Amino acid sequence: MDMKVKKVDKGFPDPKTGEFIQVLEDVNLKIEKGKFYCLMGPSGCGKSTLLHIMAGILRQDKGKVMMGGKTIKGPSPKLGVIFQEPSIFPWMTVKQNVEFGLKVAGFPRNARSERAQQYLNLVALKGFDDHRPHEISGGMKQKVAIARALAMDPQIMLMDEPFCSLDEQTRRKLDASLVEIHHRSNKTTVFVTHNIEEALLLADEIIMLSMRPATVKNVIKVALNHPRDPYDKLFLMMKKNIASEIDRCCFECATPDFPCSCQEVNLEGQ
Amino acid sequence: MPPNDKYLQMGIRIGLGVLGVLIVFALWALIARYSNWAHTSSHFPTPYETLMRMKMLFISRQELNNTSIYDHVLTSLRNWGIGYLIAVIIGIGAGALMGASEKINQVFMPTVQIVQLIPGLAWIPIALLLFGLNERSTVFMIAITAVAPIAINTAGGMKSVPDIYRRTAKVMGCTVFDRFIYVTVPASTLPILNGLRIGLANGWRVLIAAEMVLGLNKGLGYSIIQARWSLDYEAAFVCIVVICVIGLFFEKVLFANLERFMAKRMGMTEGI
Repeated sequence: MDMKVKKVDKGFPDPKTGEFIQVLEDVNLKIEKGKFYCLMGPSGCGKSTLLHIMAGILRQDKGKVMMGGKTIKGPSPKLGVIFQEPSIFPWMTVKQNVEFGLKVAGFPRNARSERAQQYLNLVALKGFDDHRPHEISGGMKQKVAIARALAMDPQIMLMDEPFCSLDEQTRRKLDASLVEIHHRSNKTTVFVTHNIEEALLLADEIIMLSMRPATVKNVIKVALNHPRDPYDKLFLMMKKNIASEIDRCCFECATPDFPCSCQEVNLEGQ
Repeated sequence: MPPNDKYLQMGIRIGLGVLGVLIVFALWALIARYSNWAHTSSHFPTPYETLMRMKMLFISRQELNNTSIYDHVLTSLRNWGIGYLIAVIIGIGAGALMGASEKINQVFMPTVQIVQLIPGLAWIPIALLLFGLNERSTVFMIAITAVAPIAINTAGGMKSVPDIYRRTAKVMGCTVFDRFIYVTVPASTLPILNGLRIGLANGWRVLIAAEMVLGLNKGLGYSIIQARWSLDYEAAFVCIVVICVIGLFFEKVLFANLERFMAKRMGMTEGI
């Protein structure tokens, strides 16, 4: 299903000073069905805030988030959300975790067991059904969380830096399996990351946010075929361009009255 | 680690524990001997005499204050059980409400903390005024001293459930009820168990004290204090040993294993 973010504003009072901080300002996005999007931007710019608003966990101050023509008013099983922290329940086995959403939704035992099995296979965790979360690695925990979200058959997957606390090698492996999972499930996905390489490995389109108050600066199409090689010439060139773009953007946007040129540069990979 | 190493270590641990107990018994024997040599007016029971008296009371079923020792033990256990059950129901109920709502917590938590600070025996006048000189007073005192730690730990446990689990439950489509049953309760099991253990120990201690003061013709505490008049100090020592054994059983055998099992079950540790 497609998703539209229309003129969304969001601000918070600073917890220390009480001063109001505008985090998002006039954010407009169009998420098309079946595509994989990465949401990038300078750290602290409000990527996670935007994702939480899209997930219905946070309420925007102004504007609308629409999914398939309907306004999102709160969390919904149609939106699969993966958080940054490990979120699988330590008191349940791997399989019970995957079944959890189905159980709450009232699926009969057999149906949910079958479906949980299917999604555990999809994330390559076959045979780990009865393991407890403390017995598996951090990367596997996030895979269980992905299987748990996918088992609910959501229309859109929203992922908030799910692999950022993992080591580099594990992260690359999981990125590769995520590409595979996306290829097979064909779920529309929005994935927040601050890692340029990760974004280039995964995304069909990279949405670049500006410094706070964040707005969409640029949308970069990544027209590279999967599986992508992070040492490929074109890949490396794009990586370099985006990095310098982020650096420059941060500097310029942080300097008052300095015109930001982010949008003028064509970063498309052709 | 090879298995015999594990057994060796366990053997050493048990051996050292036994050694500690033997040292205590040796000191006890020495003190008894010194006391009997210094004051001849009253006899200080030695470990051996206590053991013989225990045999008389438990095996020969000699009566103590007109009742069998089994009856004293059962009376104490029954009062403890009833008082504790009341404390568990009220403590977990109140704790859950305080854990669920910050407002309720702010209204009641100071009171609960004050109740926890009052020493068990200070409730005696209140117990007497409310229930008079009978077993209901004892039950009241057990309940009131056990309830505060249970409520405090339940509330604390529920409030300390990591926010990530709450958010996850929300995005998985849980209702408030689902979230409570499937997330809040399992995530706060260990602190609740901890409160239950503290409450049980508090209740046991105040039970003995209450029986001493209220003196209702039955119970282990009553039997200890009766020794003052009957000069049956061996029996008092037997009662103290029985109290220790019962306390140890609940604390070290029942609760320790329950907590270890639940810790494993809740995935907090690897268990043993």
